[in-house]
Amino acid sequence: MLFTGDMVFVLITSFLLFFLGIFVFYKDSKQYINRSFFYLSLSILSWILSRYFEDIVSDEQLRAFYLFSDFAAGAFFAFSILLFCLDIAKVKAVERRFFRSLFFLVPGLIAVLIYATPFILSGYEINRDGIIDPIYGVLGSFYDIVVTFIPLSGIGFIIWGFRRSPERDRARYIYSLIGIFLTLSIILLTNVIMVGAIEGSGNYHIYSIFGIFSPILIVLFSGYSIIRYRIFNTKIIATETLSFIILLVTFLQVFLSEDMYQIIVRGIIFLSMTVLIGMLVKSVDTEINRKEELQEIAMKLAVANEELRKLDNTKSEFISIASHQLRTPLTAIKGFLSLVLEGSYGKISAEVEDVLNKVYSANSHLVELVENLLNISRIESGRIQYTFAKADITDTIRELADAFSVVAKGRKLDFAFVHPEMPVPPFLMDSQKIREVISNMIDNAIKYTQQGGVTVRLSHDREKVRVAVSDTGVGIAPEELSVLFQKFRRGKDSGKVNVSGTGLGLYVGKNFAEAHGGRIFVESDGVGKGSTFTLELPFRIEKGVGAPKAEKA
Amino acid sequence: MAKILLVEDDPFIAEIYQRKLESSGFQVVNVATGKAALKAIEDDPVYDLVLLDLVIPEMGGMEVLRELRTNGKYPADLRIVVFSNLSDPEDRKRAVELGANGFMQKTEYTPTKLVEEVSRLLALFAEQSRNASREGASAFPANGKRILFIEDEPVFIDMFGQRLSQEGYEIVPHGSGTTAVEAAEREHFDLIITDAMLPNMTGQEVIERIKGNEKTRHIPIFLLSASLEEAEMDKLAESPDVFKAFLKTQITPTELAREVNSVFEIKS
Repeated sequence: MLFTGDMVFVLITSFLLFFLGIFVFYKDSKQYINRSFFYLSLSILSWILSRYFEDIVSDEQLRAFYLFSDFAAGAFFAFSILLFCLDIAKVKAVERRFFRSLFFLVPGLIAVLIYATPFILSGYEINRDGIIDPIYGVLGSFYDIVVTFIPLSGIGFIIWGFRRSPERDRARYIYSLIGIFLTLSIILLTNVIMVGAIEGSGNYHIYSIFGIFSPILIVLFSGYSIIRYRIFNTKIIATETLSFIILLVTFLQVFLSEDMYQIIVRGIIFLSMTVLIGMLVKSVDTEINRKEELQEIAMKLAVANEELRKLDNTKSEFISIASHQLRTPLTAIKGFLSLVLEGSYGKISAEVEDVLNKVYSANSHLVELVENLLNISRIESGRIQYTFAKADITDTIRELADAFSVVAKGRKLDFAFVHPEMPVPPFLMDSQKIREVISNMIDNAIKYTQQGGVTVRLSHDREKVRVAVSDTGVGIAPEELSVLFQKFRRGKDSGKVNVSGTGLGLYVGKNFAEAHGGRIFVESDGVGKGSTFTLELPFRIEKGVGAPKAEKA
Repeated sequence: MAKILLVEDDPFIAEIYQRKLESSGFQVVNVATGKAALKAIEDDPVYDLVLLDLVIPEMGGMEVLRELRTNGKYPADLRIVVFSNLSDPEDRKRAVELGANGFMQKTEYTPTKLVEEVSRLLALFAEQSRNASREGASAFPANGKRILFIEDEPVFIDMFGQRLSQEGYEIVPHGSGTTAVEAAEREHFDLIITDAMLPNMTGQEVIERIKGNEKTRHIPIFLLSASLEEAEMDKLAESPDVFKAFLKTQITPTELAREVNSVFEIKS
């Protein structure tokens, strides 16, 4: 028998099916779905081969054998489809050994009936086109019904499984469904419905081939659903398989040559293909391996990020809860202290009164601290509220300057507030928050200056207002400049009590500035050379910049 | 309007403090030396408070203090608060021993905070006098006003409630919004003070229920909240349903009593 085009096609397809089945089985033989896929591919393989050979082989006895095998394989095919669908739909019942074995025993029984008895097939005949036809026995129609409805019920199970599965799993159902549906329709079409119409027409051969090879669709789609479901490794093997098939074809082509010339040409093609494909497979290999690694790393990163986010949230929540819980006892202390001091519980001595005043003062500081902690947690969780209203920044700074000039004087430092001749027009801002930012800037300047003084310079141009606080203090090292505005970054505390009492820190200041569409930055010539902190605020906040506004009329 | 004698020699600082105190509604007289201070008190003894710097010319602050306390011609109930740059705890002790009513360290107070502290001390002294005057009596006589106090924390019922009872009010505490609203409908109340957060109802719901009921709609409501920034508290505080809102952490029992008194126009 010569190698014809048909033959080659059949060989390739069979090879593909067999290899795929073996591969999937090899990949994970413990999984039920892998096993039923193997079963499916084997039974399809047998069916295709029998159907093909029954029309090709010349010996009649052999043909009859292939015909019977065709029907027997058809039974196995039907049951394997159903089993596969049940496994896709994750039907638990089918995992039990007893129930599962039925899917082999029942078609096995049918096969026995076909080969050994006349109940299903009583004989055969060769019709005038040379096609071998079956002669049905008493149970013949029973066979047809079983072999039609078993796979159809498989489709039903897939649909059922699809509906009760979560979103992300649904892809594989769809693939299998499409594959099975297409295949079965084509089979139905060519082998059952249109047989009558096709028979006798010259195109029978084409249709039967079509019908024979349509199961490939099942295999392809189902195989794809399994492949897609798992990791990339499968793709490497798939690539390799395909490449090997191509090689096989080019190799076979050599044998199909009709003369020496063709042998040489095709031989060269084959050899060069070998080299090219070798390189291709290698590169696909490395690329996919890398992709896999990346995916794993990305997943780990995502998990770690999620952990970090949860941790951050927990911390913010903790601060918030703690601050709330702290309020009650602090309020109680303040209230009862004031009552005792007032003499509500009887007269107290002067010494006791003095001590209690100190306690009252300390408690007030504590209350402020708790408020600030709450503020920080609110900023971090984005819950801080801004109330924007037109305000005069010069007034705000003047008030602060009054306060701080006293403090500066107490520490023997100079203090100056320089403002422009042309007054700065009032503009939209949350004045309380801006006040805190500037207060913190001046407070820091005084804190870190031993001698000399602090100057607050207010200036503006058409677009923005600038508040620059310069000091002749300890200065900032260049490497510290960029990290100063981070959370919980404090310089070494060289001063005494924090006079302004806000203790907000540059981190919060930066947040407030940005919420106004502005910025805060620091310049310093180095350690011991003083520094200048500048707050810049635009007159108009552009849409989309800064914090969501809560405007007060 | 309270009258304060500010004894401070640094003109720069004196000007700032005087300006701040005056803008808060106090009447301020500023002198720069110890002798001038004594003279000022002699001429006009009705000062609510003397703010006495320790480091002053002619006569040191301690000297002035001793003189004011030991010499009979000065009023014995004159309130003197010493404030100074000196941070020696010994000074504080000495000042208290000599009879100062308070001690403030200048570096701990910004002018604004100083004014707050002065206000607090003035209120404290006023209350002390008031309490001293009814020495023996545990509370002011009942004035017939009933207050519904809706608060679930026992410590606050104790603190605020007791203080208001002392003032002469009858306090009826309720820990849950539902029972409180029922009580309001059943009994007669002249004022309702409610917390913002209650176990089974928010302060807002309580207010809505009270205002929605014919029988209780007219009763003025005070709102006590832990914070104005949480859960729309600021809007609730501004709404016309709430007569006055207070931050629990900012108001002392006596201040609350004063506010309640002002609602009923009782002098306190």
